Amino acid sequence: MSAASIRIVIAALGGEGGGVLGKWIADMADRNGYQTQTTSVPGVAQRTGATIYYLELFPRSAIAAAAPVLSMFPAPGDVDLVICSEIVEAGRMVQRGFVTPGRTTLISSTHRSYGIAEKQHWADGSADKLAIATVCEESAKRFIGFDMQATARAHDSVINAALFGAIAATQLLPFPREAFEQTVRDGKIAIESNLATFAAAFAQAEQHAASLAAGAVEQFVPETPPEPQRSANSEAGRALLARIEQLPEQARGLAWLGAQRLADYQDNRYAADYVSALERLPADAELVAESARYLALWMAFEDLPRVAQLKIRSSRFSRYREEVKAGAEQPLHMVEFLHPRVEEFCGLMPRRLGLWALSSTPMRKLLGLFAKPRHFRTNHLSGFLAFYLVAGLRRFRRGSLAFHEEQQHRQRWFDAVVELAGQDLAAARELARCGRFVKGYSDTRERGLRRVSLILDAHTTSARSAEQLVALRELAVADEDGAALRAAVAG
Amino acid sequence: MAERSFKKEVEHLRLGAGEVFRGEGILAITKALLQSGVGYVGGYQGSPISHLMDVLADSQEILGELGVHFEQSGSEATAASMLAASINYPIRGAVAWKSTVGTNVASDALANLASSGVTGGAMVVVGEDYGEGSSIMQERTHAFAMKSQMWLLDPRPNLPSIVELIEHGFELSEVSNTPLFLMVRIRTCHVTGEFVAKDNQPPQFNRDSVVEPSRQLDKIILPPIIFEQERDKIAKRLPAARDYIAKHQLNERFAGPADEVGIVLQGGLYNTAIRALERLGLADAFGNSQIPLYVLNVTYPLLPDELLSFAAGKRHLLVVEEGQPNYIEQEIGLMLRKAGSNVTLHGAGLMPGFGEYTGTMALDGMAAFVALTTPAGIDADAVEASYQGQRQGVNNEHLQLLGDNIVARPAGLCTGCPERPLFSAVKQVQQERGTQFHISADIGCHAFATLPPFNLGNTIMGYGFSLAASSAIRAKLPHRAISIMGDGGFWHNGLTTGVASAVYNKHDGILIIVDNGYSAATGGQDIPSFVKPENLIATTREERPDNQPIEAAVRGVGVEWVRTITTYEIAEMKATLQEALDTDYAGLKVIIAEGECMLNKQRRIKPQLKKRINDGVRTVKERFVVDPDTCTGDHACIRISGCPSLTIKDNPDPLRVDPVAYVDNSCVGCGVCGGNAHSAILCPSFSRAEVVYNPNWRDRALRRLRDGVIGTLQRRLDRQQLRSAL
Repeated sequence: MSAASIRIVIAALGGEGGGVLGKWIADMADRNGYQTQTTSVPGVAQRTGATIYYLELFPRSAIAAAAPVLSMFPAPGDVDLVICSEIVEAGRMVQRGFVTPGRTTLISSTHRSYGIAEKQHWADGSADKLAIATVCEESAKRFIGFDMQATARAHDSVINAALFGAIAATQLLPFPREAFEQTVRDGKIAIESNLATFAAAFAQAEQHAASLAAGAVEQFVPETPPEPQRSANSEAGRALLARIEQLPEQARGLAWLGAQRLADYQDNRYAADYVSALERLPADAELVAESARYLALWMAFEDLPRVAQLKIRSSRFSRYREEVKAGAEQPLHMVEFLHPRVEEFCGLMPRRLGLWALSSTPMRKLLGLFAKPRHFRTNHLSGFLAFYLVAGLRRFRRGSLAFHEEQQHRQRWFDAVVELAGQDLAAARELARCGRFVKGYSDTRERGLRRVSLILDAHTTSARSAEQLVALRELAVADEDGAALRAAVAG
Repeated sequence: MAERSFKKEVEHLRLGAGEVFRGEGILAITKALLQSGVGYVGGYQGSPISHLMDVLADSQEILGELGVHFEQSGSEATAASMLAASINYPIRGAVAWKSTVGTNVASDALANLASSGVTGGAMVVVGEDYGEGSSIMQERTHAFAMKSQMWLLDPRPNLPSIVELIEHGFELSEVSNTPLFLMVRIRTCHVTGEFVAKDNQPPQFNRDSVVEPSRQLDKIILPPIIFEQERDKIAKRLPAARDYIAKHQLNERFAGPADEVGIVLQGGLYNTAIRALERLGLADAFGNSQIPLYVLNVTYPLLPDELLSFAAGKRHLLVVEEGQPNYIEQEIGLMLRKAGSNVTLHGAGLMPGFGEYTGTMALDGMAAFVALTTPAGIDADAVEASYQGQRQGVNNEHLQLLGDNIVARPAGLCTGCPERPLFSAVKQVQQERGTQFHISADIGCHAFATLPPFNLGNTIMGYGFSLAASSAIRAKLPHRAISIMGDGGFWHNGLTTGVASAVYNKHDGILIIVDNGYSAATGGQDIPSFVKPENLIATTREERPDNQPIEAAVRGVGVEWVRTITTYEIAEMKATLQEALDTDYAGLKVIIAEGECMLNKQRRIKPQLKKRINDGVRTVKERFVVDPDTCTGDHACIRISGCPSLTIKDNPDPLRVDPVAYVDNSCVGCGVCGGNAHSAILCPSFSRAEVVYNPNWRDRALRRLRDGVIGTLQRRLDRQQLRSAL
């Protein structure tokens, strides 16, 4: 065949402005001797869904009399350039066949914009972006992937400018860098920051292309955080760390983090209790690591004093200010949304008093006056001092009703893990992982605790294997109220 | 104020003869209407025709100068009824809507119009919402054209072809006294391109030059005239139309060397078919095909003479017809049979026979056709080799990996949407009552509540039909029937079809009307209850003015129990729902859930806020924050919200494995996540940040005082923390 069009797919998420990027490319091509056609699908996809724009560029020099016939759709196996604003969308383009080895250049930002199924998951339902990036790299003739959102943010601009820079760097389109930059200028909006982003992304894309030739895609999609350093600063700390260093090596990092967390939560004695508990376990790295994680989180459960303690930290204040992009001197109000229940107030009381208050109707009514939706302004003196006082109540925590109840639940679980570890190590690991259900507040937390106790009940009735425990865990999250698990346990 | 403004683009509508018009399909269509001398235009929004309505609304100045009357019709039936102006008088008119849903709504008026016949050209521009991106059930406008006998134009998807066919369309309508459809597919509406313009034609009649009222008895839809009209359709109008179509060659024949075979296709599929042929090595980039093509730019009526002449001497014909049933193929088969032709006919079977014909489907179909018929002059083996080369596909291992990791992205409510708190409230009431509601849902953004995370809604029967849809099931439910309707649907249909009928039938159920001030799902067009947004209580929390139109309307048809609630007040909404479910009052209970569409609100207030800040006026900007310290990663907040700005990020706490909730920078501070944390007793992690711009002396003094005291206490806490650290 003689002349053919250049075929470009832009995959974007609704509201991201994929159409603007398409217009930039079309305008640039139009001014540089190409006839262009753009098609898109307006409609519900633009309400937060995934959508694609399709462009064809045809050299005017190749047009004699009749106009070229350009396609309305991208066709699998027939696309030269695919541009994606997000890595899962890049994967979707590969899945739909728009990325052909030996033909298609694929440009994608590697950041994530999570779908509702990923976000609403009770634990972690997020996709494996490294797997997707690897497929992208293997599927495309050339894959340019890095976090272009970060590039754009660094220059206070939008992702389109970064994508445009990456496109220019591939030199796939027959237009010089100046033509790209002129197009940004002609857009007349945020020219300076857009050009800075463009230039940064251009350089990153060139560097990416060079280093990808040398190594794997992992370097652009970092995933694992580094292992924390273990060093103690006090006598008590050194003593505890020495004991932790006796645990299986892979569990020590988590155990040390856990001990530090509990010292902060309560005191050194509490941290020592934690290490003693871990010492009851056989020296199995996986078992000790999982137990160290969930035992620490459970022991540091978020009661009112803990929440108050975390709310008033200076580190929180500075992180908060940074997150909302407020200037150092700018007045910033922090309005906390709290809704403590009668149960939380009773939980703070000494155990017997708390139990009595819970069962006393007049007392519940009285407490009900305070147990309601409340706004606290942490940056105001009244709000700060209220939190300050409540945070101080943690010195009475050990005698409180909530502490007692959590301890009972936790002890039952941990004892079962220890006991099982002597008989069936694999099953014990799975039982330890049930600690993951224990999180959240009020109803959410109660549902989690019920899940753990249902699984423990089932296990007590007849010992379950590792596979059976995994199956029970999956049933436990099959629905919001745990009906599937109850049915399985009853049956 | 619609979502997209065409104020700049509509200036192209003024281009005169010889000038080159560059732009989108919808603008080209509008330009063609003006070049054809239309006297009036109207329509109802809905993708893919929404932007055409926006273009018309934005070009009112130009329309006014020309003397073209414009109405933003209350429904498609309203728009279709406008065409009555063309029955008695030589006035050209055009209306537009989304099809087939809009055609369904309009069909009563259309059927009567088609029976009467027209004097002036009458055109219905339908955006055929079929295939990728469609939001409705999959049907064809073709059936309406056939049953009412209206002609159906389906131009090749390039601007010159569309414009030319519109101009011919008015002539065709007039010579055959028949209204017609111009059908454009989703992507055609927004395809960009260029054509050489002509001058706009001002209509013969306008405000200053009025018609002389004239009555023609043969245009009235009453017996016995209707029998004469039917005879006229077949005996006069159809032959007249066929003559015009043939004479002006509205259908196109493209010769090719492999003339043992031929392809008959709808005009709208031309580019897709050519691209498939090009990829198989059977055509070049300019559409020169080796296989002869017969392109139907008019898909109803068909022309037997033209078709038989194209088929003459061929062994095989392939009909490429999108959608089902395959009316065109059936009719061609009948023509060939009646003419005693022995051409073998292919169509549905070789082609999928349903669904949008994408590039791959066309490629598969054409390749199969060549392989089956091996026409002389075509190297079938070479075609097969190209085909195999084009269809390598993705390797299985990759598909598996991607299948496990590519998440679906169902449409959802926008960031800050006022409908979100309503559905959060419904979901919480459902949880608190320990029951699953049967809910009659409706058309509009609120239909997204049927998807995760809300999963609320059982049926969608049509625009404004939700209340009517619960009229039978209400007698069989364990709870009072709940119907949810938007303000758009309410004005379109719901007031009469739903509310008036429900009151008359003593419907003991609940109707929630979502009043966001616009026809939001279609792109933020204005609707009858549109009030100055500043007056919506949800916007300013000012005292609600009397006589909210929707409330007045429902009271006017006899509803006694009406509550108007700001959607963002989740606790109040929950209490009202509970009251409606439990009250002794037995009639229809209407809850008007008010809150301005956030997309429109942001478009409105963003420039205002920016100006205030730049002008040095004290301004407070709000947004929400989730504390990663206290967030335990259970995501209960997301399951009752689904806000795009409420997302997740890696947990900064190395002890925890599950991602924490996180509010990103797109947050508009609507307060729903905080409201939910309160009303559903979720967690203490939500916090509203109020950032003060251009602080006054009081702000500054208080900040210094507070920061001084708090800073001292915090330093003390920091020292304590350091002392007690291990």
